[in-house]
Amino acid sequence: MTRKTSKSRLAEPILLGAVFLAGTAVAPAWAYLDPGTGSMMLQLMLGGLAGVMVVGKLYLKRATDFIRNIGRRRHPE
Amino acid sequence: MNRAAPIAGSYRDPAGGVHRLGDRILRTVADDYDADFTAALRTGLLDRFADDGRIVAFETLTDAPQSLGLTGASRVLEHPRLPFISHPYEWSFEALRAAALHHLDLHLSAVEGELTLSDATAYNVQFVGTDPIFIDLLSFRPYREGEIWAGYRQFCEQFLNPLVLCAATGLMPNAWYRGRIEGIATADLARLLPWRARFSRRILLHVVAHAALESAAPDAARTKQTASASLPRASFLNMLRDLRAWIAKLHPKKGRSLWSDYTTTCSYSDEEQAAKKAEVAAFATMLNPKILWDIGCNTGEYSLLALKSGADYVIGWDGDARAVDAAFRAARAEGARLTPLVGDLANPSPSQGWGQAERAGMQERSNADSALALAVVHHLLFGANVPLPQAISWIVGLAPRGLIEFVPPTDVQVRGMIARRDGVHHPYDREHFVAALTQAARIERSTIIGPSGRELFWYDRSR
Repeated sequence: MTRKTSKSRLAEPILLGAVFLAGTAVAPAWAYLDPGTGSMMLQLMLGGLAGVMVVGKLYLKRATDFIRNIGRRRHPE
Repeated sequence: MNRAAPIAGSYRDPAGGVHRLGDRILRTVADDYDADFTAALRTGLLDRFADDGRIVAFETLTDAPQSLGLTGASRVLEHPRLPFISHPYEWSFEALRAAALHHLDLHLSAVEGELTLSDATAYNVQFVGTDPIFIDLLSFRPYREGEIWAGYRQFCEQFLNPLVLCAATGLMPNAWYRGRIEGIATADLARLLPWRARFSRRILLHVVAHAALESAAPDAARTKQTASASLPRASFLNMLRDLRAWIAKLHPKKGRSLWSDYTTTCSYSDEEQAAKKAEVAAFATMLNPKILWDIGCNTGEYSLLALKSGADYVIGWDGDARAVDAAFRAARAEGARLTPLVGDLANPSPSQGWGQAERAGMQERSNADSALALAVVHHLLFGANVPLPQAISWIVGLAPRGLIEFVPPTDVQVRGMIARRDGVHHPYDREHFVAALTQAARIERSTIIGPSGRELFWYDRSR
């Protein structure tokens, strides 16, 4: 039986989330220092989260506009 | 031919290095980096940053690098000398925070001008007074659309994590930072944070999730994923701005500090304080120190007085990080040329890092022409069991001239220290004090400042 090496229990779901949210464009890290895989993943996640929030806000606006429009149609000026 | 010698702390970045030529500070630009540097120069940003004092001034030399004994370089720049090179583990909370904000602001301005910073090491920030200044020109290079922030991990370890540690727990990070000069690892911080702190969105992301991701072993798929990592410009800028907004609001969690309250609770009278101030002022007026080291500077009261009386620049040292923080705030409020630093006088910063030379020790960096050592010798003797002759010769060794205070054994505080020792300690009285000082230097003058018997001695070992 193989034993998994001990890792933070949070790592897997966060990692999956990060991969899910990550962008696809290719841009190598131009750096002499090691940016660290974990730190890069976190940035992907932050970038992804920001993207999700922008899209979310857009849909929220559409939804509120839609509801407002219903209200206007019911009470024409 | 004069040959420039490399400075020990400058070896990591293949883009170039810093060299010393006599008193001059030179920076080489490596052949391979010249295109990036030329592009950075062309934006005009570096000149603007230098004019604004945000980065250290520079001048391109017309000398061929080979003529200065420098190889592999396309060109050589010269920087003015800064008053002092300090290390981040010697900074109080306020100083580290000021440096972090300076770094983020500079990075934001750089990205607006299509440049970025290739790293985020706190050692690239120095202080002139309490103003942070960025010193590594070669960190600037053109921004490449969608690139990840390569220095993010370094920023966390060297700026963010020590600040968060202090804000969340009240622990001053200096001793830990000094032991691990690359900063505080995110995984280590994540283990220590009180559970309440974890409810913060930013801590959850930048510390808890960050640590969890770091602990996940990089398998092939993840390496592939991150190799093609992309961070859109808007997300990158948001990240920098959000960190800035967070750090600007961080404060040390309340904790006890014996010495930051000392000036309001000290054991001698107003008349004696006035006499002591007059003597410090006279010392600074007569000697006009260019660089004065205030050993045991506490909240900087006498450093500031010395500056007003004729000293040009003061480096303050004290082991109490909270007192140093108060000194930093006081100096900043006055725009004074005082840089207060955290340093345990009985265990000063050692020479350490790569080759035990990367980060020079406190004594190795002494550039003081004068010293103040007010009410400090008895702390070395009773607090750290340093014999009187050693304590005095150490202080005299730091600067050729100085003002050094003798606090008599009858003083309330010293009496308390002696009582706790049950009288067992190295000899401590005026006679031994004078003998030790005479051994190390010439006593130019001595002044008893009041009925308590406190006495100030001017010494000079230069003649």
